[in-house]
Amino acid sequence: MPGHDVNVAEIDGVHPSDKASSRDRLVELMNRYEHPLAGYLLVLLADRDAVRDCSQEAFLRAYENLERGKVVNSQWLYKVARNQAIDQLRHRGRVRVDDGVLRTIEAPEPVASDRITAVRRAMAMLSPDDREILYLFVVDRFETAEIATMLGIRAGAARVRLHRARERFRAVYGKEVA
Amino acid sequence: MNRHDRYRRLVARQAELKGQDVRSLEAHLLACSECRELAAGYDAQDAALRPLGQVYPPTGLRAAVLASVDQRPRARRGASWGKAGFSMGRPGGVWLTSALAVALLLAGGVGVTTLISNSSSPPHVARTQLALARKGYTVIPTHAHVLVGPQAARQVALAFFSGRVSAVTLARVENIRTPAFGNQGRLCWLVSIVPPGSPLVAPPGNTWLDAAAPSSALSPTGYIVVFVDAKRGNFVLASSADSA
Repeated sequence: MPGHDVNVAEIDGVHPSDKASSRDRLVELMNRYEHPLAGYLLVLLADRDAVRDCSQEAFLRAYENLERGKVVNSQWLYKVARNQAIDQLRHRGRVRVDDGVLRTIEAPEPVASDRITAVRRAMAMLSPDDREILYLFVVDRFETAEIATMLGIRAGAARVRLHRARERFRAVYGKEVA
Repeated sequence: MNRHDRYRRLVARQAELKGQDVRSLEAHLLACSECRELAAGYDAQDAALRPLGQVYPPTGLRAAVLASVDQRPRARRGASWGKAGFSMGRPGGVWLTSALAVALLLAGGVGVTTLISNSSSPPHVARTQLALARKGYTVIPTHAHVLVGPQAARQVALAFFSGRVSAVTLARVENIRTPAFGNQGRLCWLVSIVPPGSPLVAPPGNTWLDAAAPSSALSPTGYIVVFVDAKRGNFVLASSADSA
């Protein structure tokens, strides 16, 4: 479950230098995080192709770590994926996503209800920072201390950012559903 | 920051509070209607936001990642390596797994005609290839294709994974290029096998295929069929014999 450290290297107790066991751990890692990581990256990137690239790179790096006998947990994986996403945005010349891109956040799921559409619109009106911390805390259920580690900020700053993001979301979502 | 502001911030992260913070906030909420209203509003906010997490991973991501892992020589362990991707059209991009071997043996007579596999396959795969060659299949060291018709593909998948999967999902993949189709772009189908107990998630536009599904669920024209053993992450690649 996102937000909870998973010591994938200890799942089956197989020696981490064994290639097959690292592969099994990678599969386990993907079982746990393939879906949530895609959701998180989609919020950051608003581009399914970019989500694929970043996810793939993150999982491959995770495999490298597993091969070296290192622990891979959710925070590590999200941080690597986030760095990949930032590189993608820089590559596009959009380190901070502009409004035009925000409005292209796609709804790739088969059924997008009015409610979820309103949520997406409200999220698109937030800053990328607000959107990210709301998603990580509410959807992926990371704690603020974990988010702080991922984002490279202090825990206190993460709490303040979360509080403000909640307030801003409340305001814009209220208008959307009014 | 006054005392009331402190509680507003606690309400914002109520889900992670522990110990004294929980007790302190609960006591405050009993006495403060404004903060109770705020807490109820955040609960509603959370309920609205959580469906955003219902996002399907990119189609073929797992196969691509595992293909990259499997292609990586052991000697290069720890070295930097890039995205090899799930290169359906790249020779050597996919190798035959023992899963396919069993599938093929089970599927005898359902349209399997030719087997072409990768010469750089891992030892257990090479053994499988050898066994298949002894069974009369043609094993050519280029890239992995198994020519099967759509009915055969379905039967192979369902027969082999019987009891190990709860469903098969087909994903439409545009413009696949592979030597099997003379490197012409084709509409193909990516087939994922879902093991029992796994969440059944179908990307939009996918077709579910189960034992009761009509054969018309499969396209009458070109296929690349990928059998994925989601539990082990193994996969194999097949293309349809009756591709137009």
